[in-house]
Amino acid sequence: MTSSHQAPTQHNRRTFLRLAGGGALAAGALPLLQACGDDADDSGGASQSDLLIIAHAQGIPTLDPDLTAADVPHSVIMEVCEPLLDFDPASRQLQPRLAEEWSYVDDLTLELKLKSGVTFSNGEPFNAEAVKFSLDRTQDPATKSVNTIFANVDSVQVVDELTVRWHLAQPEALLTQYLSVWPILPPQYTTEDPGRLATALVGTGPYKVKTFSAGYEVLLERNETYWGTAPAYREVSYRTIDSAETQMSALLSGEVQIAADLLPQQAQSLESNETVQIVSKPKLLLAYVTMDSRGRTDPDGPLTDKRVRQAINQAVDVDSIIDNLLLGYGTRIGSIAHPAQFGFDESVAPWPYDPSTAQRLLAEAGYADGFELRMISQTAGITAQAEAAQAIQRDLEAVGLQVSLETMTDPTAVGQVVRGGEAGPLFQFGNAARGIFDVGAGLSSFTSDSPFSYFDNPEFMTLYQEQAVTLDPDRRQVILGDLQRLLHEEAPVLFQWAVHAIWAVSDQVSWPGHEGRYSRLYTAKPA
Amino acid sequence: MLRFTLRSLVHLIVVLWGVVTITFLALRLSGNPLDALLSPEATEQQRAQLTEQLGLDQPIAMQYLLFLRQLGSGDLGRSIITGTRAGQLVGDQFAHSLLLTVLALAVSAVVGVGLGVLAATRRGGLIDRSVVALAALAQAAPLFWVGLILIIVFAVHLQVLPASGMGGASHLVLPVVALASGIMPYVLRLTRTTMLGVLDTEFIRFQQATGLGHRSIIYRHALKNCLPPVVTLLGLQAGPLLGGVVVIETVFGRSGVGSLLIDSIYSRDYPVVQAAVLVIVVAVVLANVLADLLVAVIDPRVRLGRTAS
Repeated sequence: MTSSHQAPTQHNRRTFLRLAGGGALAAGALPLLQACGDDADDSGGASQSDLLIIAHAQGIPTLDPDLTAADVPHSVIMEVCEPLLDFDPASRQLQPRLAEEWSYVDDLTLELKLKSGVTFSNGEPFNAEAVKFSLDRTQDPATKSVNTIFANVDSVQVVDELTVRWHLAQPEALLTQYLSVWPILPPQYTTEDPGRLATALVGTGPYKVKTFSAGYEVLLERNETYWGTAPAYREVSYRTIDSAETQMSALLSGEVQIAADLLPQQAQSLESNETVQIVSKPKLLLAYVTMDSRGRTDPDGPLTDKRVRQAINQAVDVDSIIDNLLLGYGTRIGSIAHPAQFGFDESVAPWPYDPSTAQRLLAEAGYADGFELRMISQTAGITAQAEAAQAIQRDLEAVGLQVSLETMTDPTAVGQVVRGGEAGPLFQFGNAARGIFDVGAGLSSFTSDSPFSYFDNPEFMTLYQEQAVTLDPDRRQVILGDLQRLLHEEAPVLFQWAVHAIWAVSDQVSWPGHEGRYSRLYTAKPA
Repeated sequence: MLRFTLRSLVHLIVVLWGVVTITFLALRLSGNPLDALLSPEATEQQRAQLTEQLGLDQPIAMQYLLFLRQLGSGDLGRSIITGTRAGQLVGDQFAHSLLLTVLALAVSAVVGVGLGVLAATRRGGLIDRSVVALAALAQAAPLFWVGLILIIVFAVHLQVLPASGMGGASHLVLPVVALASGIMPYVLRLTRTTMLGVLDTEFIRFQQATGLGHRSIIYRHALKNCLPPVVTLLGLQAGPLLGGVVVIETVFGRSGVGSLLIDSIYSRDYPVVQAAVLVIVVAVVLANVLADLLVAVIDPRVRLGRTAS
C-alpha cells in the first residue's frame, strides 16, 4: 500500500498523466479492495450465524399485512408476526401456533383457546382483544384492506382473556385454513400510528424489524422475548435483487446465502458447484391454460364441446415442456389440485400425450379439419410461460389447430381481459389458491358466479357449494376428490404443472425450503 | 442573466406541464391499479369500495384537474400501495440515484476527456486507434450487459468488489463504471474531434511558433477551447444517464428512484410514478441549465440570454 502511494510522485508528470485513466481507478480501488477483504473475513467462520441474507426479485413496498397481497412481503410479515394456526404441508394438517386448541361450537361458531404468556416484541400482551382488534382492522373500510378472506365472518367475540369465538354468517370450511395465513397485530401500537406498520411492523414472531430500506432491504433481528424456539441466525435480511443473473453472482461471491428466483437453466449450471445446493419444492401455484368452455367469447365456439377440450389436453406434450423448458422443475397435474393441499386425490392422473386420440376426438366433434383460435399469453409469475405458449402452439398445430398468440402484462391480462370475459378462447393462468393449502381454495375461479370463470357446470357448483360449508374433514375429502375427477373429465383447462420454487442455497446454510408462500428463515441454521 | 433565468424557468414549467400530462394519461391508459392491488379473487364490492377510496370513480378529466390542483400546491399525493407521501418516497430514493449519476458523470468527464486528448495528440497512432476502438465497443455494448460482465469478472471470479447492493464506497465502483461506460464514448469522441480541430487552428500554430512547450499548448490553451462543447454534451447526457440509472439499479440490486419507478409502474402506483418522473425531469432540465451557465463561465464569448448577432 505505502509503496503504491509513493510511486506516482517519483514518476514524471507525463507518465502520471498517461497512467491517470487506469491508475486513478486502481489507486481508488485499492483501499476498497482492502475493505472488501475485511468484509469477507467477517462473514466467514463462527460469525456466519450472525446474518443470513436471502435475495428475491419481488420488492417489499410495505409490511402492513392489510395493504399487500404479494408473496415476499408476506414472507417477511410471517417472520415478524404470527398467525393463530399453522399448516404443515408434510402431514397436510393444521398445527397450533398462537392458538392452542380450536373447535366448532356449532356450524357458525369457531372457538379458539389462545396461548398464554405471549407478548408482542414491544411488550404488549397477546390476548383475545388482539385477535378481535386484528379482525376489526381488516374489516374496517377505512383500513382499505386488500384482504378478501373473511367475507363470511360476522365478528370476533372476546369470551375471556384467552378465548375467542368467531361468528360466521354461513358455514366456512376454510376458516381454520385462513387463520393460518393471517397475522395478529398489536392493538395499542397499531392504533397509535397505523402508518408505521408499513416500515416498522411489530408482532409476536421470532424476528423483529431492525431497518427497512425501501426498494433495497428489510433487515430483521432476533426477537429476544420470543415465546418459541429462538431462531439460529441473529439477523436475517430480505434483499431485493431484480435480476436473476445478479442474484446468482451475489450468491457465488458469498454476498447472499439464498437466491430465491433462479431460472431452471441457472439451477442446472450450479448443480456441479460444491459450494451451492439447489433446493426445490412445489410452490402453491398451478399453471394451466384456461379454455372458454362457457362460450363467453364465442357462444358456439369449438371449446364449448368437451371432446375438443379433452383433445387439446391430449395433443400437447406437457411432459416434454416440463423436461425441456423447465428442466424438470415442475410437477404435472391432472386436475385443479396441488399435491401438498388438503384433499388432493392421487388417483386423478394427468391426461396422456396422445395426438392420434386427440385427432379422433376432434373429428368426432366435427372439427376434422381443425380451426383457428386465439391464445393470450401472460407470465403470471411463472417461469417459461412464454416459451411454453409457443410449444403449446406448435403441438396444437400438429393436430390441425391454428393458434395465434397475444402477449400481455399480467395485471392487464387478469384484471381486465380475463375479468371482462374477453380472454377466450385460450389464456394462460396462474392459480395460487390464495396461499391456502386446501383444494377447495383453488376452485373459486371455476364457480359460475366468478367474474374469472369461463366454466359453468351445475354439478360442479353443487359439489363446490357443499364442500364450502362442510366442516367434517373426512366428508370434505370425499367431495374434493369428486370435484377433482369432475374437473379432470370436463377439462375446463389445459392442465400444465405445479410450479416449483428453485432456491440456490450456500453450503454454509442449512435450510430445507418450504412449500407455500413463506420462506420461514427462522428455521434456517448454519450448516 | 435575469432574462436567461426567466427564460429557463418558463421553459422548465412548460416542459414539466407536458411531462406530467403525458405521464398522467399514459398511466391511466396502461391499466387499473386495482388489478395489481387486489387479489384476483376480490369481490365486486371490494373493488367498488377501493375504487371510490382511491378516487378512481371520478371521470378522468376531473382526476386530471384534481391532480393539477394538488400539484400546484406542491402536493404529489400519497402512494396507493403504502399510503406514504409520494414526494417523500421519491425524495428518499433520489439521493441514491443522484450520487450514482454525479459520480458516473464525473468519471465519464475525466476518463472521456483524458482519453480524447490522448487520442487526438497521437492522431493515427496505435493509441489513437485503440482508444477509438474502445469507445466504439463501449458505445455498442448495452448497459445491463456491461454491468453483468463487470459483476462476473470483479465479483464472482476475482472477488474484489461486491456483486450488488448498497453500503460503502466499494459498492459504488462497479455501478458507476457501468453507468459511465454508456456516455464516456460520446465525451471521448467529441473531445478527440474538437481537439483535432483546435490543434489545426492558426491560434495553436502561432503558439507553437512562439516556442511554447507542447504540454502547455495542449492543456493550457487547446483543452480550454475544447471544453464548451464537452460541457454542453455532459449536460445533455443527464437524461440518458438517468435512464441508465434505472437499468443499473436493477442490475446491481440497488435502491433508487429508478428501481422505485419500475416497481411503481408494475404496481400501477400512479402518484409515485408521477412524482418520480417529475423529479427526473426537473433534474434533467436543471442539468441542462447548469451546463449552459458553466459554458458561459468557461467561454466569455457566450452571453446568456442574448442571441449572437
